[in-house]
Amino acid sequence: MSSLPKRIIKETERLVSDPVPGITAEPHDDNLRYFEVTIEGPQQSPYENGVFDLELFLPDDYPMEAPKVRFLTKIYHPNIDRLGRICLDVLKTNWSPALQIRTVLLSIQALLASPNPNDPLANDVAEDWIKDESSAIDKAKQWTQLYAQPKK
Amino acid sequence: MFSQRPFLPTGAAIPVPSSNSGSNNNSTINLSGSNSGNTSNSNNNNNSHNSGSGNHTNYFTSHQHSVNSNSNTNTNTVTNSNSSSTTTTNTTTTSTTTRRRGSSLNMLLNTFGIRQTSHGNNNSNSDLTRTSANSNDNSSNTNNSNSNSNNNNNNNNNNNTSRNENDSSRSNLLNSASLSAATTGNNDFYQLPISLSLTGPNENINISYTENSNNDNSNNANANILGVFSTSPLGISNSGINNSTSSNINNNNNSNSANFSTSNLNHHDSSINDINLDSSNALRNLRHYIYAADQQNPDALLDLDLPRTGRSPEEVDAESIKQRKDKNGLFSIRLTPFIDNSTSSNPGLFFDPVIRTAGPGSQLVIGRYTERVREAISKIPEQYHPVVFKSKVVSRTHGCFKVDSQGNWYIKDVKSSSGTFLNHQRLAPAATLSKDTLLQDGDILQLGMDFRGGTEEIYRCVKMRVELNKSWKRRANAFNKEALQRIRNLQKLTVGLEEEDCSICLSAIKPCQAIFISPCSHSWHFHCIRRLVMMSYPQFVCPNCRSSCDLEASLESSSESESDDDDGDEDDDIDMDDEDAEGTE
Repeated sequence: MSSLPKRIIKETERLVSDPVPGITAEPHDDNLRYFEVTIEGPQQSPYENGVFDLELFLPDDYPMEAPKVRFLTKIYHPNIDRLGRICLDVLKTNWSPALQIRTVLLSIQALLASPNPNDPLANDVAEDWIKDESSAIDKAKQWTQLYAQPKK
Repeated sequence: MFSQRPFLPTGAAIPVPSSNSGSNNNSTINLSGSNSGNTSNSNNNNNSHNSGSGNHTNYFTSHQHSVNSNSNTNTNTVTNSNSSSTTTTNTTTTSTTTRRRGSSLNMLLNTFGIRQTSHGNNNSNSDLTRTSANSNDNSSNTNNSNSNSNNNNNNNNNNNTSRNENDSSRSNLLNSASLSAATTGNNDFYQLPISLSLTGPNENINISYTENSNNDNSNNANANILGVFSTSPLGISNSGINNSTSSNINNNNNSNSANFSTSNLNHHDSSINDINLDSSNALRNLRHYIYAADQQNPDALLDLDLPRTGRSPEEVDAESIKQRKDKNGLFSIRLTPFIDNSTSSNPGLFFDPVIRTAGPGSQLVIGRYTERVREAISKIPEQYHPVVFKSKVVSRTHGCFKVDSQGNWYIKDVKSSSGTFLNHQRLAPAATLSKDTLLQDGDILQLGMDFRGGTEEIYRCVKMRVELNKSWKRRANAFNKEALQRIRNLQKLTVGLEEEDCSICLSAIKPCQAIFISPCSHSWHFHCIRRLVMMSYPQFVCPNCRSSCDLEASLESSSESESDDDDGDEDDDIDMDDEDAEGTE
């Protein structure tokens, strides 16, 4: 295994020393490129009071390549499919090496606050969302209750 | 055997040293026990002193013997019969390998001249004083001579542990202390000298560390050593031989031989003979020596073989010698790939710049990168590594660099198969040793010749530019700093805020680093942004502000909009204009 680039070390240090509110990210002991992430659902969103587990992996080419992020907790969201994959531009085409783990996770948190059913990844969810937004939001709240309760 | 008993106290009369010896003893066994053939750092540091110098080796081999003989007297306190037997075999085999190594080295040195002997003679005292286990040397040597005479007594070997345990219990404190002393290594204070061979049968590193405690017994030790070697069955007893035998402490591939010292001795007799017959084999064992800055008699160690004609080193005064050294008193050499695209031939192998530091008298092996080399050098800091390349046209042991007390560097070709070229002139015909040829700053050095047209990278020759003694390392002068500050100020004007760090590596941009400034006035290390620029050239999307820029935009266009800006400086205008242009996109 190649040595860890200085940038990743710096980012990890800064995540620890200056954490983002509502977000935690800890590198795995065995693989320092693998992070265990939790994101709190943003307030005034269907995901409020939920705590979502994610995994984040920094590929060898990082930061030239975007980190790979996936939801581990089930979530009812038009841009996140049942496997936890996330449809987010900065993770795909709009990635820029000036972005960081921190900014990516903030973007994901923002995505929770503003679902975009017009550019869906989970088509069924997006359809529900467009047809009947209030019931879809209720369902999202239910799922948050069911699956995203903070571990005590 | 009891007759030996009195020797022990005389040799190791002082209790502290004896415990010291215990610590060494301990570490030896640990090493051999781990048997991975690699140096576990701390232990190794302890033991490894031997590398450069004959006395050390003596110490080692003899040391093992002493263990055995002692165990004789203490027989049957063995608690762990298993462990005891393994340690025994390990230690004995160790001695075997060390001997073998020494002999091959000896041959090498013979071919080179008197390096070995001079080394031993000059340094025997200093070396002895440096080993923490000096007193141990004494005792072990006396024992050793005895054990030599008693080679046929196999009886003792299984009982080693008794002694070992004693030692370990006695020496725990000291052991830990010496370990910490030996292992507190950041690179700057790494324990020198280093000695390793890249191609020896079971190669290993010995890393030596120095300790300045004076040893009153050194004379005794010397005498003992000589005695040992005069009694050695091989008759190769000049001090030189064993000088560098050191290295193989840990390699116990033979550990299955549950035999005792006699058989082992026989074993290495034969191996020595083998190697004596094969001088070329010895040559392949050209050793890599890195000495510390305070090495005694460095020029004698080098045994330079200068050409009659051609360049010879200029006399330099003390001040300029001092300037040639880095802050640790080491000389340095830097090799950068010499990429010559002007000719139709292949550009040669690309490699990351190689920087090596070494004290006077050091000898740096040039060779091919192999798995064995990788293992051998994995534990030492890169600045002390041998110079190895991933090219098959470089011989495994191709040549060496040497540096003398004045910081002059020399190159020597040691019968490489495809030659070494200094400024396009071959140093020596195939299969002959070259002279030690003086290197000068800026020389072009080529190792080997392209094979099969050099189409495959692995068959490319290595062309490199040589830079000596930090000549490449210009300090950031006032101009450099001021220039960077100006760029920063410029950015503050255009972007509005001062960005200290490169957003890609998150490190500060410092003077004398190549910078890329985009038309939107963001900047990064050129090193960091280069790939991004190349990927989409001539289009460039700024990773910071996502503005898309045309890097091939005409430089003349700025004059059109000059009237829009009333900033005075022309350079400023170019930047500002471009940014305006981008902003509209």
